[in-house]
Amino acid sequence: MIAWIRATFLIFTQAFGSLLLSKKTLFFGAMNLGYGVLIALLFFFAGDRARQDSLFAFPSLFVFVQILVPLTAVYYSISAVREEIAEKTLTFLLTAPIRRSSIWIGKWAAATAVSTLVIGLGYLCAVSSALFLPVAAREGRALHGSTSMAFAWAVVAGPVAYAAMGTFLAVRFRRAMLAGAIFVFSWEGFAGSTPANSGVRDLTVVDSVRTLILRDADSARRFRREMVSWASAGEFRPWRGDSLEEALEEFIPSKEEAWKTLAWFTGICLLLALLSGAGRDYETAPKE
Amino acid sequence: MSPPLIFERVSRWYGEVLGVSEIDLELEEGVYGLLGVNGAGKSTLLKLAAGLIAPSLGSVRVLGGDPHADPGIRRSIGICPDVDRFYEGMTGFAWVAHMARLFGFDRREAGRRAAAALDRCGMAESMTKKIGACSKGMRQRIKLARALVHDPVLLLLDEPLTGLDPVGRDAFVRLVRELGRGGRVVVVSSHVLGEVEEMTNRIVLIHQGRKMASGGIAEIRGQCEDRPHRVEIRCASPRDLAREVLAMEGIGGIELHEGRIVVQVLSPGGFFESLTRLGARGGLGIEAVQPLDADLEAVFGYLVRS
Repeated sequence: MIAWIRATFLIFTQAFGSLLLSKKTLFFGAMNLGYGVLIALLFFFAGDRARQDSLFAFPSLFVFVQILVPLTAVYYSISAVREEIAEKTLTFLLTAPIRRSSIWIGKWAAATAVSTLVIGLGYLCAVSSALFLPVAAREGRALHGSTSMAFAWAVVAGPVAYAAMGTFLAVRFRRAMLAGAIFVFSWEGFAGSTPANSGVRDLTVVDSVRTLILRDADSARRFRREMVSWASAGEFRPWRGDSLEEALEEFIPSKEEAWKTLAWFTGICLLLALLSGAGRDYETAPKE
Repeated sequence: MSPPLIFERVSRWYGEVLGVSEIDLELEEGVYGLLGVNGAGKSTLLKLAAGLIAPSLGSVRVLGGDPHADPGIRRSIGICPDVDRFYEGMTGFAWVAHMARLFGFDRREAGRRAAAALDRCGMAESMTKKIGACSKGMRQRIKLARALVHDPVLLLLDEPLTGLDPVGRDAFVRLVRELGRGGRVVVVSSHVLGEVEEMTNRIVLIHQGRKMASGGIAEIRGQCEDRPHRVEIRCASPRDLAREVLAMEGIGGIELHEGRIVVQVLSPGGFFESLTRLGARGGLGIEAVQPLDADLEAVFGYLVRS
C-alpha cells in the first residue's frame, strides 16, 4: 500500500508540473481570468443599478459553473492521460514496476489540482473585483459574502468529479476529447435541465454543484427563486405565495445528498477508469 | 535453473494484424541480436518481454514471473523503446531520476543512480540540459540511461543505435558487450545487420512474426543445407587449383577469377580437411581462404530474402 501511495504521488507530482507549465494553462487561465474580468466589468458599469448578487450569480452559473469549470477539468484530465498515450511516453510508465491504478489516480489528482488552481484564478478575480473596485453599489446592493462563498463550491467540488469523468473517458476511449465535449456540452445541459423530481439530474455533476451553491447563497434571493422555479418545472409559483424555503426543501436536494451524489459520481468514474485501464493495450499494431 | 527469459508458444495479434506467432525462445545470459526486417515482429517481441503487452496465446516468463501481470518482475527489466518522446521540459537528469524513483529508490539514491547511468552513457556533461533541446543521439543516450538506472537483469534495446554518431555508436557497442559480460541478458533489436554483428554473434531471426532461426551465426549457417557454402581461395595459379578442387567430393561448382577461385561447397567439413592437405602439399601458392557467405548478411539473406 505504501509503495502504491508513493508511486501515485510520484505520478501526481510529475503530471502536476507538466500540466501546470503546459500551453493549455495559458489558454484556460486566460479563459477563466476572462470570466473574472467580465464580472469585474459588470460590477463596474452596472454595479450601481442592479444588485451585485444577481449580477454575479446568474452569469457565474451559466458561464463559470456550467461551462468553464467542466470544460477546464475535463480537458485537463483527458489530456493528462491521452497525451501520454499519443506521445507514447506512457510506455515508460507502463514498464515501471508500478500498478496502473497509480498512473490513473495520479493523473486524475494532478488534473484536479491544476484545474482547481486555474478555475480558482478566475473565481478569485471575479470576487475580489467586488471587494476592491470602486463600485458605486448602493446600500444593500453589494455582493454578499454568502453568495460569493457559495460559488466557491464550484471551484472546490466541481473539478474533482469532472476530472474523474475525464480520466475515465481518456483511459477508455481513443476519441476521449469528443466524448468529453459531448458530456460537457450535451449531457450535462440536457440532463441538468430536467425537472429535479425526475431523478435524471443525479446523473450529472452540475446539478450537485448547483445544489451546493443554491443551499449556501441565501442572500441571492432572486437567483434562488429562479433556480428553484426552474427545478420545479413551474410547480413553485412565488407570485401565488409559495414559500421559497419550502420549495427548496421539496425540489432541491440537501447538501448532504449533493455531496453523496458527487462522491458516488467520482467514485464510479474512477472505478470504471481503473477497471477499463487495468489490462487495456495502449500499443498500436506495428508499422509495416 | 531456468533461463531468465522464456517464451512458450507466444502469439500476439493487434486486432486482425499479426504481431508474432508461436514463438518459442529461451535466452540465457549474454547479448542477443534480434533481427528482422521492418514489421517482422521485433518490437512486439520486446514489448512482450517487457510486460508492456500481454500475449494473445502462450506465456512469457522473466525470471520465472509474468512481466505483464506482476509489476514486481518489471524491477528486473530495463527497456529502451524505439519511441523518441519524453517529457520535453525536464532535464535528462531529472527525467532519469524520476524514473528511478518509480523503481522504488529514494530521492538521494535515485539521483546518484541517474547521474551514474547518464555518465555511463556519455551524458555526464549534458545531463542538466532540457531534453527538448537535446540532439537525437543525446536523447537516445538518455533513454538508455533510463533503461540502465535500476541495474536490470534483462535489458531490452529496440533499435538503440538510431541517431547516434560514429563515436557514440562505437561507445555504445562497447557498452552493450560489457553489459552482456556482466551476467545480464541483453536483447538488441535491429534491422541493420552490421550493427548486430558488432555486438554479438548470437542472433534470433524473426520474419513475418515467426522465429526463423536462433543461435550462433555459424550454427545457423550450417542449418541452411540447401545453400552451398561459397568459399574464396586466393592463390598464384587458380587454374591448377581449380583442377585439384574439382577432384574433391561435395563440390557444387567453381568460378575462376584473376588470382582467385570461388568454390561452391556442398559439405564444408570434408572440403576444408582436403583443402588443408592440398595446401600442405604446396605448389599451388594458396594465399588466403575466406568463406563468402558465413556472415550475418548472407545468413539473413538466405533465410529471409529467399
